[in-house]
Amino acid sequence: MFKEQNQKGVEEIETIIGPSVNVEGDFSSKGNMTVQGSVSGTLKTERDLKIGVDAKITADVWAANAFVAGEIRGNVRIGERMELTETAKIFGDIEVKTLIMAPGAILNGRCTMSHEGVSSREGDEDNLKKDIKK
Amino acid sequence: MYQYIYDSFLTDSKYSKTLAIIENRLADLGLSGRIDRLSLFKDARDFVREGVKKGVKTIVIVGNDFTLSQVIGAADEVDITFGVIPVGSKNEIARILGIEDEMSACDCLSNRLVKKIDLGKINSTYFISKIEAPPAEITLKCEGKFLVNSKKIQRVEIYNLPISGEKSDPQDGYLDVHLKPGRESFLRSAANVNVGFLTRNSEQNQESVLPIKKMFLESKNDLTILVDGAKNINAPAEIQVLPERLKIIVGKNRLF
Repeated sequence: MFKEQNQKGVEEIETIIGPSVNVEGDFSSKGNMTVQGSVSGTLKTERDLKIGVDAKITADVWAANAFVAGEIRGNVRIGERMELTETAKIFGDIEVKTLIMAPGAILNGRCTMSHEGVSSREGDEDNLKKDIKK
Repeated sequence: MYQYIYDSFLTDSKYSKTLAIIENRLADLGLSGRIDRLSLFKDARDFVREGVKKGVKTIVIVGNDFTLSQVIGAADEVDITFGVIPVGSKNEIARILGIEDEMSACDCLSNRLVKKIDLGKINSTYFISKIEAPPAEITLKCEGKFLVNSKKIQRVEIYNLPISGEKSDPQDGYLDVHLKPGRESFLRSAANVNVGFLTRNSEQNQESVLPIKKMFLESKNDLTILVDGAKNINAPAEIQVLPERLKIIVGKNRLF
């Protein structure tokens, strides 16, 4: 899911926010993103997002797919699939097409699911791409 | 018209045979041109300026990574294509460009496969491969949108080329910022002795990698940034990528 190769056959570089790093503001990326540290503000990616077990996100989150093992305080919009592990904690509303929750995962918020996919249904994907291009 | 800029270390007699072979090969290929030699009293900027005045369209840098960095740094805002002929040691940039040795470099010049690649800029200084700073608590103000703070002391390495085994694409319009653990823990030191791969894995788990176009780097402490392994610049510093600024002749086996 998070290991892609580009046209030149080179493994595409992920954005990695390590455990010793704190990001504040509007952070966006075109590629896959892994967060192990803390982020506050907004967090957007056109691709896949992985939130590590010790990660603390205080931000609204947009991504195509997400794998969450850490904590998110904010609203989450995922275009396709979102997986919450047993250590995941989400305090906010979720909009997603497919949700997988492990026993023990915490979700305190409203969950909206659409067969069509959240991003494409509301035109968010286009807006997200425009934001990232800026 | 070609201009060849030779590094000053090539005046050493041990390189005279290599240079003669290169010059003969270039003559055979019909690529002979003006030759200038860097010295204490004449730097790259003077030669580039003279060459441009005389209508040079291609500057070929003969030397190593430092020569390349020095000449490209002096050739700002000129519409020139660069070529490289690696001689001596420390030629990692040439290898990344797909140029293995001096003979293959001559063939690459003849084939003239030109690529536009990104160039880095720190304050008013250009860099082609990477810049690095020693461990410190740093703040990066990025693209006017977000801040990156290190919670611990970290080394900063910013790559334009995939040098030192790191992955970086010089055609993506981004610089790759790596923040790495600054000091080895006891566990990592022990692992370093016993199980090498554990050290690397452990470091990788702590590392941050951020593709960024423009940033302002500052630190509470005095911080000296090493540019292309040759020049020092003190923080705070503005660092940015200049997309597709550099036209350079490459080989088929380039690493990007």
